[in-house]
Amino acid sequence: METEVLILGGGPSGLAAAYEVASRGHGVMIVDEAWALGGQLRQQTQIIDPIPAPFTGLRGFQLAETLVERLKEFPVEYLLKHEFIGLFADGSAGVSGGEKILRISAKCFVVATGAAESARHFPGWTLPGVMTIGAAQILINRERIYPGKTGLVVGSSDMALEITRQMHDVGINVIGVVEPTSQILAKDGKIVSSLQETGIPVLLQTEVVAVSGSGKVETVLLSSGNKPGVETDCQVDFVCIDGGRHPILEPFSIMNCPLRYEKELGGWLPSYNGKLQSTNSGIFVAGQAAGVTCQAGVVLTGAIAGINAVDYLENGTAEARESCKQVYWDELKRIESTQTPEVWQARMSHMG
Amino acid sequence: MSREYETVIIGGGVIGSGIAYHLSESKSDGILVIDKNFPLSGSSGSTQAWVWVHTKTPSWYGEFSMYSSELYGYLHRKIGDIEFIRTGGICPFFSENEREHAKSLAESQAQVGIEIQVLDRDEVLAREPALSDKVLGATYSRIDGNVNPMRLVEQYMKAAKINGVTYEYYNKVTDIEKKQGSFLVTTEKGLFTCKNLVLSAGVWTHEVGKMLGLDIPVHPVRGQVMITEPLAPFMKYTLDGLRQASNGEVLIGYSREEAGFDRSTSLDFIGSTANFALALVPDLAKAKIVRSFSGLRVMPKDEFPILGPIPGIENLYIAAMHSGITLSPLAGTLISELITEGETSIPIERYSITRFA
Amino acid sequence: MDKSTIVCRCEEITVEDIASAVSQGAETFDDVKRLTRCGMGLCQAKTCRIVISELIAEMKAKSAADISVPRLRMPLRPVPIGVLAANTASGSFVRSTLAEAEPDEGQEK
Ligand SMILES: Cc1cc2nc3c(=O)[nH]c(=O)nc-3n(C[C@H](O)[C@H](O)[C@H](O)COP(=O)(O)OP(=O)(O)OC[C@H]3O[C@@H](n4cnc5c(N)ncnc54)[C@H](O)[C@@H]3O)c2cc1C
Ligand SMILES: Cc1cc2nc3c(=O)[nH]c(=O)nc-3n(C[C@H](O)[C@H](O)[C@H](O)COP(=O)(O)OP(=O)(O)OC[C@H]3O[C@@H](n4cnc5c(N)ncnc54)[C@H](O)[C@@H]3O)c2cc1C
Repeated sequence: METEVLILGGGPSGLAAAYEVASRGHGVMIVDEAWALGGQLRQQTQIIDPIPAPFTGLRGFQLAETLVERLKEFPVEYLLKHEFIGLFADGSAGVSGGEKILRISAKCFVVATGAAESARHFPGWTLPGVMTIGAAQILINRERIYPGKTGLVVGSSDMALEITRQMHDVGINVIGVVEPTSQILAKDGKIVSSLQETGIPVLLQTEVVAVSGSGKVETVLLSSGNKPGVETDCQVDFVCIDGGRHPILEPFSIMNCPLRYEKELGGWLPSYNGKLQSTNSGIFVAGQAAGVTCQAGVVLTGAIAGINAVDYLENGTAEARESCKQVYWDELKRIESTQTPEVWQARMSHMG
Repeated sequence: MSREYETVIIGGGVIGSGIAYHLSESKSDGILVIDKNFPLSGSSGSTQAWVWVHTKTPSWYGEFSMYSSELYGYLHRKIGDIEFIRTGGICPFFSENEREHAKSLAESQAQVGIEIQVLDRDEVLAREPALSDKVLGATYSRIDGNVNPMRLVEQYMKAAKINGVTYEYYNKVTDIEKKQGSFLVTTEKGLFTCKNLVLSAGVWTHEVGKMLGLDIPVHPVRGQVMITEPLAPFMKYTLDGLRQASNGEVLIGYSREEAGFDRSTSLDFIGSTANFALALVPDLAKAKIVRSFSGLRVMPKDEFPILGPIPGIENLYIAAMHSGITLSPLAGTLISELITEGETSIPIERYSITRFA
Repeated sequence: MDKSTIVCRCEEITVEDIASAVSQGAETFDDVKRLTRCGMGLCQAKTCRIVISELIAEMKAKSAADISVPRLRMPLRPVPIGVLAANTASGSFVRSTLAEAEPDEGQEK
């Protein structure tokens, strides 16, 4: 198989990149191992804000649907339920659909494989009933399965508090959110106050000592920095861990893209320049793979990577594309530098 | 910290650590091993790790490998568990004209004491039922087996340290000079001096030799191996190209590629190795491959070990070889004999570097 | 973190195992991996890479940026051998040490 731009990952950033390429008349193929497009947006029910026009006011899954819908008028090729597993010696991608390995050659790649959640570790974290906060969200909003009746959330990022609120809304009893540091990590005031309305307490300077139970979670043992030496038992049947997220590195590793550490972008990630282009020149990076950021950052980096891929195909840029990129960069700067200034700064320093 | 040593060993892979351990058994003072990384980062951590003898030819090389493999029986008692298992080795064949070849191999190896049976189809399938029923026969020898290379190097290092050996990790040797009977070994972290110097830097031995003005004919040959998820034990023997490790994983692969120091893997290799695996053991079709790795074979120009003193520079020794897992106990024993006694218990002239002159 | 806390669930490797590898001189994730098998299981370090790298950094009093990323190898997902074989020329790779062995012809002994 052959295409001009092969996009690995059909989440919001891959979809945004595809639009920029396809709407300029170039061939695009999207490979995703999931059975549906939309990536991690598919289970997000909150209204995405901030987000640039024309996407304002949409809930996460609606944003995903809109990004998919936009592509319908173009001849984009999709390979769903296909895993990207590696490269052949001639640089073409190997993709497995479960029966054989397809070989896809492309003029360039956009890698939009997203981020993964980091775990937190304490004795008992491998017991059934301990899961990442994102996994709980998938269960509830996508599979309509509740992770349990009574739970505890460990970690207080925007995402954790948002999902805690969603758990409360479907009737799950969350006994509290524990945060080891001395302040709530969430930055979005609306999310924090929306959690406060539920009455779910946020216990600061509190750590999980251990989780125990026979064959599944039954008890969590907490210790509080305010009361040294005192440990409290809580009866729960599930525990959600918010350990932050980090860019998925495997695709870059096997594509021989150099990596760099940038704490505020989620740790190690591929090096890239101002075109979101890896040092390995035919590879562009988009979305959470290019650094953990907000949804607006995901969509905008996808769009910018897409236009740069077009420049790459056409061996140079055009005025219209340059000004379009400028609009996206301005938006990205506006949103990232106000929402999460440290992310914007890290991105600038990363691009060198 | 003392910077003067009796013996410095450059490279702490299976060969360097094997030498350090054996030498420390007879001579406990003044041994230093220097490695530019942590050992196992080189060839010894990316290997199939068969302890393999029966197809090693000519027979003098088979005999040499046999002596080393026999030392394994004692080694694990001395340095601790290295997961060595003498499984027996099977080389299946799939064409009739290979039977004659197998018979002449059996005859020639018998002259040096390596016992090989040429099995017919039923015999080989009775021994290893997982083999493809297209097999026509096989050579079989009790002598072959395999070991866990990570445990092997770890236990060599631990035992050597207990015997007083010092290790310098993450310290690269950058220059060597010989002055008034001592070697001056310059590293990234300073200068060391010693009386005896051993070059066991694997595929980098060529580069290290250049520091002494030597042209040591060793170069890297890439080998890729792929590994399955752990499977219930179903294979008893070490098959030519494929074995099941004690944790249930099956290691598959037997490639030799000229690719310099490039250690990447590729799907081309994985695909053709998958075919190879199915031709040998069809039941593997459903087994999942979870990873692959690639390592550099330490390949002397004529493929035989380079072992012994380096004439012209007193107290300088070299040990660079392919099949270093199989050969490490013997290489370690022989180099330590040379250093402590000046002679070896079996002749090693054949392996001298002078043969390339 | 408690010494007995598991950090690599695929291979059941604990904090103590990591500490023992580090005390032997290991400095990177790959060094520790070769000694302990952490990250070599089914998930191929997708779950444990971060926590183990952080532990090594802490034990070595280094920053996380100093602990290099382990070599991540294809295939990126576990794939059955039958699937990997389906699209390649069959037998393109079958070689054997037996075929390559050269028995003596009486000349050398
Ligand atoms: C479980 C989870 C829940 C989240 N919930 C929230 C939330 O509530 N609020 C919030 O702000 N953010 C949330 N996020 C962050 C989320 O990552 C981003 O909001 C956004 O979805 C990222 O977009 P993306 O395009 O970069 O990556 P993704 O949306 O992650 O898309 C990546 C796509 O690549 C595919 N892929 C990856 N590897 C391969 C491969 N080897 N072969 C084929 N396909 C592959 C995946 O299937 C996926 O569809 C969540 C993240 C996770 C992991
Ligand atoms: C795919 C594959 C399969 C194999 N299968 C088998 C098998 O089944 N059976 C078998 O017996 N053998 C096998 N081998 C061969 C065997 O693995 C090697 O012969 C053996 O590991 C070589 O060990 P070594 O100590 O010489 O090299 P290494 O392990 O590479 O050690 C050399 C050390 O020197 C260090 N070094 C290099 N330069 C410097 C410097 N300037 N300063 C300081 N230190 C330095 C390196 O860091 C390294 O640790 C296989 C090899 C490969 C690649």
